[in-house]
Amino acid sequence: MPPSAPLPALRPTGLEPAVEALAADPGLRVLAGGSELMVLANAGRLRPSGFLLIDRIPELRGVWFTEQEIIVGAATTCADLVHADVRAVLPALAQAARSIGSAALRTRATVGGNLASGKRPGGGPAALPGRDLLTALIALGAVAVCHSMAGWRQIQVAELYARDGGVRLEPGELITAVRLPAGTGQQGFMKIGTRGGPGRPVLTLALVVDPATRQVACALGGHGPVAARVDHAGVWLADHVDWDAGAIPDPSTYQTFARLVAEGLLAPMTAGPAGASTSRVSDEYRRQAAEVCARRALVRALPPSGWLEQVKQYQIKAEMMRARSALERAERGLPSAPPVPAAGRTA
Amino acid sequence: MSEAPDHDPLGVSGSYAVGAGDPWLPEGTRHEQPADGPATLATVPIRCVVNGDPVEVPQVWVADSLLFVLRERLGLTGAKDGCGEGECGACVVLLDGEPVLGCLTPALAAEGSYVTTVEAYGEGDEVSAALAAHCGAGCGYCLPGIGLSVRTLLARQPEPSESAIRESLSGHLCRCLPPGPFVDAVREASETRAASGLGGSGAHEVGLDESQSLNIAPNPQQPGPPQASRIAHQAVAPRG
Repeated sequence: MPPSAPLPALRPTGLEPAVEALAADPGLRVLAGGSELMVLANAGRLRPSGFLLIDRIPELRGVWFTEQEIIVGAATTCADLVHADVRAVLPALAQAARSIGSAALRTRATVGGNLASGKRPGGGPAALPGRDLLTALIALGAVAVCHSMAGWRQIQVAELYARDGGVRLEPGELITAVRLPAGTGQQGFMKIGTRGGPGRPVLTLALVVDPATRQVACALGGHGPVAARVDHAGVWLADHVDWDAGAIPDPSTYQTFARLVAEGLLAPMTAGPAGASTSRVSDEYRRQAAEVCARRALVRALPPSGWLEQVKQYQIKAEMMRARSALERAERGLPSAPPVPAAGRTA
Repeated sequence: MSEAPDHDPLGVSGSYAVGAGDPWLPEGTRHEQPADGPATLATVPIRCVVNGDPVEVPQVWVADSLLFVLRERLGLTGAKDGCGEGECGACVVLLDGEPVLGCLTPALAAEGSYVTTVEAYGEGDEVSAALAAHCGAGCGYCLPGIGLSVRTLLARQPEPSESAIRESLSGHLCRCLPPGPFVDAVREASETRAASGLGGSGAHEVGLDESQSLNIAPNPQQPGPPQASRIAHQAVAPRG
């Protein structure tokens, strides 16, 4: 019978104490915002011996901009991600964050919670989280940084999930951040829910185009427990874009790309486990939704011509952001180093 | 306290009764804590400032929601218990000036924070007047939450666009009225504020001060949230 734990032990203000508390008592449930766990608790399906609140750990909350990458702390809320500065450099992630719940929910819901909520592999049934951010993070090629007493572990976000949707976090492990390669603003996120307002997704789609490396990444989510990349559509598209002129010469490219993306819903091993659809709608509806979303996202990310100028604007903005964020962090006394292993930190 | 064998947990809170098996729960309900014998739920005292009054609530179960503590322990029934899943927005309260869903915010998160509920507005302000005028035909269950979201919106954007209004209302379900009257009510409240000098761009600067506590504090003497308890915002947070 666990004694009543004193409150300070449950709400550390530093990362290391949090990891130590988690190692000492594996019964603790990590809670950042509570927007998923509290649903279970309210329904009487979760009776934890204690919560480990990580919402007052300054190192875990914030966005760090460096030359090579952007690091988003795990306890960064969706409301933080909707901010104009994030929207300027990570439009897909900002749009995904904005599509989640209501404004009041977004002030609590966090990035790490969106990734880590849900069941563990082989565990019992749990509420299926929407994981809208996951679609954007997979398309962005995010790496999740996990920390435990044993050390640090970095893993592609897509590999954080078992095939049944369970989260492959070791006991005592805490997601501290996601690292995103600094790309460009040619991104888009689309979501179709069961209604116009906030709600669970029927389909989410994220499109990330990097004109520098001439790569297109597209991910689909909402149809199964885990979002997945649709690589064949991206590879095909990369060959049909005039990268030097910043144009898509053939207008039918959009439609073909959309059709290829929609095929990704059906292809096993590319877009989630076949037969594990969390279907609230028919497959035909979802296929059509994927096609429409893919076409719209591509039209916005890569209009038929003239997006080289947008890429330039984006680079200027990203440069300003890097310069400003370091200054502003120092000014406000916020931690200057992101919660990633020291070797990975850039000076 | 919980050692007393004949202690009636229901007498304190109404939610601490937990027995082996919990027969009233649907079959297949899983408890993370093994149900071998009556379990003592971990409880903690919570200290916070609610509507300007410092309060201490003893024996709060760690998974109790802020809404439960406000309604059942403190008797502040302004925030409504709608769905318990974060869908309806009837439970919106302000936590350190930010609108949160009371039902999905653990009471633990309010420790050391400033909580504002609709009761803080007493007899009402221009927002409640506008909502009463335009949306009075409804049952009113959703209005406390909507009122707090609208006040937050007006504090940040004194003259919100229609899309901003609709977005701020999007997390609130109303089963009585269509969205139109609510949008009209927000417009009217915004105009009333501007006319009485509370709104406009000048108030915007005042509203978003350093602590982001909104200019809607019922009691002018109420101090802002202590800096130490403030969550460090990200580097790119708005500068007001």
